[in-house]
Amino acid sequence: MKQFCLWLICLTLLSSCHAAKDDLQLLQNVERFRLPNGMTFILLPKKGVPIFAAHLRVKVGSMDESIEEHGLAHLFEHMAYKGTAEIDDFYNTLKTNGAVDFNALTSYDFTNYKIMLPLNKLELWAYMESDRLKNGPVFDAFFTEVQVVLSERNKSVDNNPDGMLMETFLNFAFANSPYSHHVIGSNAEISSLTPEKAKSFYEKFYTPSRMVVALVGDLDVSETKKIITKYFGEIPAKPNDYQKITPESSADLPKQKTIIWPAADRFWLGYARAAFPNADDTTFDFLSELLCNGENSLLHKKIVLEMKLAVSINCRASVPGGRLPGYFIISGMPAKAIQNAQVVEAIRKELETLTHEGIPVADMARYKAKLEANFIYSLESYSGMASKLSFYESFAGDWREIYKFRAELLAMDSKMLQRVLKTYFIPSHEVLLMLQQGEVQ
Amino acid sequence: MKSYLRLFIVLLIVSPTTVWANPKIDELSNREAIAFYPPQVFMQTLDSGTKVYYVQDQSLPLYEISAFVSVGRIHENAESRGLTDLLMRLWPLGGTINIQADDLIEKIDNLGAKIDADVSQEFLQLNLTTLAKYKDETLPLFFDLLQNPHFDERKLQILKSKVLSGMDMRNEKASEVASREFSQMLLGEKNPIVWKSNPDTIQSITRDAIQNFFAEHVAPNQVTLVAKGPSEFLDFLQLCEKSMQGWSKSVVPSMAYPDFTLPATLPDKQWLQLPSTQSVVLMGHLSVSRNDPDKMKITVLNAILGYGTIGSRLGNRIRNELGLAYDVSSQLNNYATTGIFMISAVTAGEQVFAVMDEMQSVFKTFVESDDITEQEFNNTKNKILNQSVFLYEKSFDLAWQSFIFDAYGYEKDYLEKYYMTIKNMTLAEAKAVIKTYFHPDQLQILIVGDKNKIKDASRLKEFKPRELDKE
Repeated sequence: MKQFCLWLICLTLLSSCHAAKDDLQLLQNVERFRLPNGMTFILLPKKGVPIFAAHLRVKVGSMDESIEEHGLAHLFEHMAYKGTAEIDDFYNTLKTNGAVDFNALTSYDFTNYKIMLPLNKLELWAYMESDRLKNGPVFDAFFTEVQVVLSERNKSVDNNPDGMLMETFLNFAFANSPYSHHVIGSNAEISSLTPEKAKSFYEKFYTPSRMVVALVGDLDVSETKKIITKYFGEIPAKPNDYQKITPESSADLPKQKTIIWPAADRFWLGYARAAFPNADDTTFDFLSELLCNGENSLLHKKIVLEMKLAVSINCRASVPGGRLPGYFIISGMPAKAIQNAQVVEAIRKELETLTHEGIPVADMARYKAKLEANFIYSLESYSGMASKLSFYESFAGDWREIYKFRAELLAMDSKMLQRVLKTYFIPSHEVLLMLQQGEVQ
Repeated sequence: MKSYLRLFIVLLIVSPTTVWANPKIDELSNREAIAFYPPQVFMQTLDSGTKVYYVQDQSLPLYEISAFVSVGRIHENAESRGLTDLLMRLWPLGGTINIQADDLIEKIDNLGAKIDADVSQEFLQLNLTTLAKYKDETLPLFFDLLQNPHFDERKLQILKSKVLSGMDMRNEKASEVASREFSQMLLGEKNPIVWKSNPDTIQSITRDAIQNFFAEHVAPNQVTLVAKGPSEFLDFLQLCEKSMQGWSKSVVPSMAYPDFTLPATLPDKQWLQLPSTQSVVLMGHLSVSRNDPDKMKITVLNAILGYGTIGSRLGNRIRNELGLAYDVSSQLNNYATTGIFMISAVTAGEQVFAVMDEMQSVFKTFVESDDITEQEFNNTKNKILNQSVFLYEKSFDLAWQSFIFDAYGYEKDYLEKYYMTIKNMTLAEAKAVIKTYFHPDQLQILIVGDKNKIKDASRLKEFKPRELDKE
């Protein structure tokens, strides 16, 4: 407990712990190692309750799919719970053994399998998870699961205005990018998937070198390493033939589109941005906080409270992911009797003012304090910590990039914000999608 | 000072009776559980009548504090429905009589703290999360807000506008419509558990009404503080006493659970027309209250039937075997004086009757065929028992549990009894519980969907039309 606490206290110091000598103590707590097959593990002991959280992050998302494979990363994730040739009922076996927070998420960039178990089930988890990765799932119930995913799509996209807006935005904003299709796939695409495609997908992308596992819990590090080596070391190495995709040019911007839908008016205003890792990543995160998060955030204060043009304004720093160039999104819902376009115009004006005038030092300090504290709050749960460690390791190649984010945050000033605003938040980077309430013809 | 030292050791409750076909899984599943002693929950009542529940936790340099007030949504008058919701939203935004709204928010932001509020059926709640290093600045602001809120008129008008816009959206998703309407079908539209605000009631709520409601119900003897943090309990108590100095006891109305008449539990089928390619099927009947001695056993049976979807009977049949629905599950909601048992599924419009028939068939077989095996029963028990250790993951939750168990009138060893009851439950008892508490012949059914999308229109005759409340 004390070691974990020290680590976090050090994280709270605004000076760069990464560069300080104290870092050695931190590095002693977080154990990172790579098996000969290329699979990376990060262990963080957290004393107290005899439980652990495991996040297995595989670097494969819908952006890695070929046209014939659209929807497959997500459908494969469903199949991964069906069991293997050796283990009949993967999901229920772990559930009966006490699994909670047991789920997976397929995004545009990653597939993340997460679970929490009592500590005495650590070796059971290692045995079952390694078997699933080594042998792959069985595909007996493949076409039934296709129906389940169609039902999921029906609920989350076809009958959900926000899901539908996401799909429409991606189709409209991207021309050739692998981000141009929704992660779940269209009905036709889902229906065209086959077990053969799924097997090929598994062989191509479920290679140990694309996998990072973060374990956080009441771990005996030495014993845990032995268990990991015993089970996951058996997984054979595979070639990683992934070809880096050429980023799409955003030369045909700006774009604007209105769709009619039976739901309250709302809009997405996007600004094309660079992929991770990029020197401006932290600035985009900072802008998201500054513009939209909280009662005193700039756009909320101006557009919602003062001008009363909108009932909500939200920001997302990178949509739909970060491995490829995406969009900084400002979304919102107009107030009664106000048009989407009026809100968007007011937002543009606020961005322009911010670009020219910057923000006072005191305000910068406030947003830094908020981001700093939010980061600490997010570390409280075992699962949240495992998610962060696996994310930074997989995304940036080293979990210690967490410190880089914090160091950059500290160094942020108004000029840096203004430079990013001038570079990205301009008409030639803009995509606007508006939903107008009405019956679909 | 009371101390709730839970000598509740996981070793006591785990009963590894499951035998697995795969010998490796059998061996690894039955590893001995690890005993541990959960942290102490301290409780003390201050002279002002405020109760304090606290867990010391030094794993992170932060405090989480919630002030619970014993009044909630069910205590609103019919004419002022939505008042506690507006109060809750306005509370952290309106400032205090000592500091203006925007200044307070700015101060909280400068310190990286978070203050928000919540309302449930029985409690109002003000929450603070703060880094420990700023507690001397943030806690006084929190306690000032707790005792001296100023309900700002300008912010109230903006909040009303937001709430009214939210009402425009509450019929957008079939699943939200279905859940709301079905609760009203079972519990009655006049029931304060399920009633909802409408534009008229929201418009009519004034700042004075909110202020008066607060003044009438919020006093130190109606407040419970639930917290976790790195300091010693006595230090935290001193801090609370100092911050609440001068706030004295007062006579407040005792907020009993309101009486209401439940509608007759006759089988019924209703159809609510909503243009959509998606349909929602809900079926269920009334069930037991939260204090019912058989609640724990019913929980086990509900888990076998459908709780959690995958691995349950409903999930195995309707999702895994037939692929008819992504969401299908059963749930129990236990209130103070009654409860709801409910099965739900979301499916494509053209499949709605196939799904409904399967739901009924699985439920009927579950109740009438006496076919639960020892293995199915023990697996479900072990799932619940093995998961019990996660109740101790977050120290704030431990303090909250002690508070809520006291508030609900549960015994001090409620949790221990809960798990021991499940551990000792026999298959014969389980079968008796099914017959007593699950009733296929009393099912009320609601479908929310588009009749233009269904395959067999003749079946619509089975259903009474239900009007969508467009308020």
